[in-house]
Amino acid sequence: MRVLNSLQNRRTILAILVIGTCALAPIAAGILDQPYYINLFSRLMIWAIAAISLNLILGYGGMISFGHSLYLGIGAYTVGIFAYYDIYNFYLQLVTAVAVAAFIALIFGGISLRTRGVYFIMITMALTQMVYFLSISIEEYGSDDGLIIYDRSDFGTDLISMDNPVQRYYLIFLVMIACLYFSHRLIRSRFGYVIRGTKSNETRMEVLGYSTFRYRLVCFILAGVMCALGGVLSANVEKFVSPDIMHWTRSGELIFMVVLGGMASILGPVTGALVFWLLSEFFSRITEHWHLIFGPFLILVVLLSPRGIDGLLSIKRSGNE
Amino acid sequence: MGCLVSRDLVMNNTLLKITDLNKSFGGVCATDNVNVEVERGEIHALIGPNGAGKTTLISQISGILQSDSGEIQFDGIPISHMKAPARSLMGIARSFQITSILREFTCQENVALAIQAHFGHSYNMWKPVSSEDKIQNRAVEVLESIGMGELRDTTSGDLAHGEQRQLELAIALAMDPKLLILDEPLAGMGRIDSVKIVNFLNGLKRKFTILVIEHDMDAVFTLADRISVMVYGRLIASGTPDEIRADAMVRSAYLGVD
Repeated sequence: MRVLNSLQNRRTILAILVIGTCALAPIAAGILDQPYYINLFSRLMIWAIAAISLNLILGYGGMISFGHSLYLGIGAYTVGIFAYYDIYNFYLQLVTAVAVAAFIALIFGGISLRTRGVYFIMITMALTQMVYFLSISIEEYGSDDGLIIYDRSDFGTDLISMDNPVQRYYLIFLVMIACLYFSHRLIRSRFGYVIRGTKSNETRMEVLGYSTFRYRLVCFILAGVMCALGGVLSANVEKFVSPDIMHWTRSGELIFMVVLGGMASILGPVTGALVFWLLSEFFSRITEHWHLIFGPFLILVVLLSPRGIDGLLSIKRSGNE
Repeated sequence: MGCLVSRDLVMNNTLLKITDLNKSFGGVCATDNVNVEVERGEIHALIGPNGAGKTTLISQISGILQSDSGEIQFDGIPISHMKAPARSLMGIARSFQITSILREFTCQENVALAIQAHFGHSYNMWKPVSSEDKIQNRAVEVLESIGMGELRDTTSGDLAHGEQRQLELAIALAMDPKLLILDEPLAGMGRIDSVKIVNFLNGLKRKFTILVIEHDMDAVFTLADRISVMVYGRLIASGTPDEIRADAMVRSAYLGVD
C-alpha cells in the first residue's frame, strides 16, 4: 500500500509540476519580459493535445497510428481555407473541422483497422502521406509554400479574442485540460474498458460479445476529432498552415511524445510533449547535428523504461520494480 | 405472444445441433463431417486424442473459426453465418484451453467486462464502470461462487496458474450463458485444484448446458451425461458414459491406447 501511495504521490507531484508550468507560463513570460514564451508554450500545448488524442488509440487502444498528424492538418487547413475565402467565424470553422476530421477518420479508420501490427502502421502512414501530397499539389491553397491566414478566428463577441496572446493561450490551456479530463473519464467508462480490453486480448473480447471493430473505429474517430481541435488552435497561433504540419515525421514525433511520457497514462502525453521539446532544445544547443544524439537518446529511454516517464515514477527507491 | 407459445411447442430438447460440419486447413481435415447434438441441461463431454480436432470444433461453434460447410443450429436458429460477438450475445460462452484473460485487469474487472457485454451497449464514455452497482455486485457474486472472492482486486496476470484457470471459468459463467463451452478446464491444474473444479462443475449440473473438452478421464466419467469421441476430425461415437466405456471402437482408438 505504501508503494502505491508513494506512486500516487509522485504522479500528483508531476501533474502539479506539468500543469502548473503550463498554467503559469504567460505570467512567467510577463515577469521575464519574454513574450516569445507565450507562443512557444501555446505550441507545446497544441502538441500535447494532439499527443493526448493519439494516446487514446495508441496507449489505451494499442493502435499504432503513424499518420495522426493528418488530423492536425485537417483542423489547421479548415481554418486556413475558410480564411482564404474571408470566413472567420470560429464556430463555423470548428464545426466544419470536427465534421471533416470525423468523416476522414471514419473512412481511413474503416480501411486501416481491418489490418493489424506493421500493416496498420504502414497503412495509416500511407493514407496520411496521400493527403500530404494532395495538399502540396493544390496550388490554390498555396501548395508546399503553405497558406497565410490574414485574420484569426472570430468568436463574434468582444469578451475574448484570438488576437490577444494571453487569452488565446488560456483558451488552448482550457482545451488541453478538457481533453485530459475527458480521457480520464473515458478510460474508466464502459467504452474505455472495451478499448483497453481489446488491446489486451481481442479474441477474448470478441467471444465476450464485443464487436471490437466498431469500438476501435469509434475510438479512432474520437482521437481524430480531438486532434483536429489542436489543428484549429494551431492555425490561430501561427496564422499560417502548410503541408509540413502533416508530414509523416510529425506523426512520428507525436508517437515519441506519447511513448516518452508513458503510454496509457493520462498525463503522459503532456509530460512527453514538454520533455520532448526541452530535450530537442538542449541537444540542438550542443551541436548542429543534434538529431544524431536525440534519436539514440530516445531509443535508450524507451529501452530502459518501456512505460516512459510515468513508468520511472513507479520504480521503488531500492531500484527493483 | 402466440408465436412464443407455438415455438415452445415445437421446441425440442436440443440446444445445439451440428450437421455435417467440415473444416480443413490446407489438406488436413480438422473437422470431417461432424454431427453432434447437445441437449438442454446436460453435460456433454468431447474427448479424443491430441489433434483430433476438438478445439477446432468448438472454435467453429463459438464463431472464432468459420466452417467450410455444414450447419450449426443454436436454440433452433442457424448461426453458421454469425460472427463470434453475435453468437456470444445469443448465449454461447466459452473458455479457452490456453488461459485467455485480460492480464492487466483485476479479477473483478475481468468478470465485470464479461457481464457488461450482455448488459446494454458500451458506448458510454463518461460514467465510470466502477459506479455501476448492478455489474459490480454481480461480478463479486460470480467470483464468490467460485471461491475467488478474496482475489477480486488482484491483477489477474499475477494469479497462480490454477487461479487463472478458475478465473477463466468465472468469466464464462459471468456471461450467464445458455451454452457453456469449456476447453480443458482442468489443463495444467494440480490434483487439489482439479477436485475443486470438478466439484464446482458438478454443482452446475442442470443449471447450465455444458459442452466440455477434457483429457482427465476420471473427471469426464464423473461429470458427463453423454460423451462424444473424436478421432482425426471424425466423430466416431456418441453416447452415455457406460456406452462409451463398452464401445470397442472407442477402446481401440482412444481409451485403450491411452
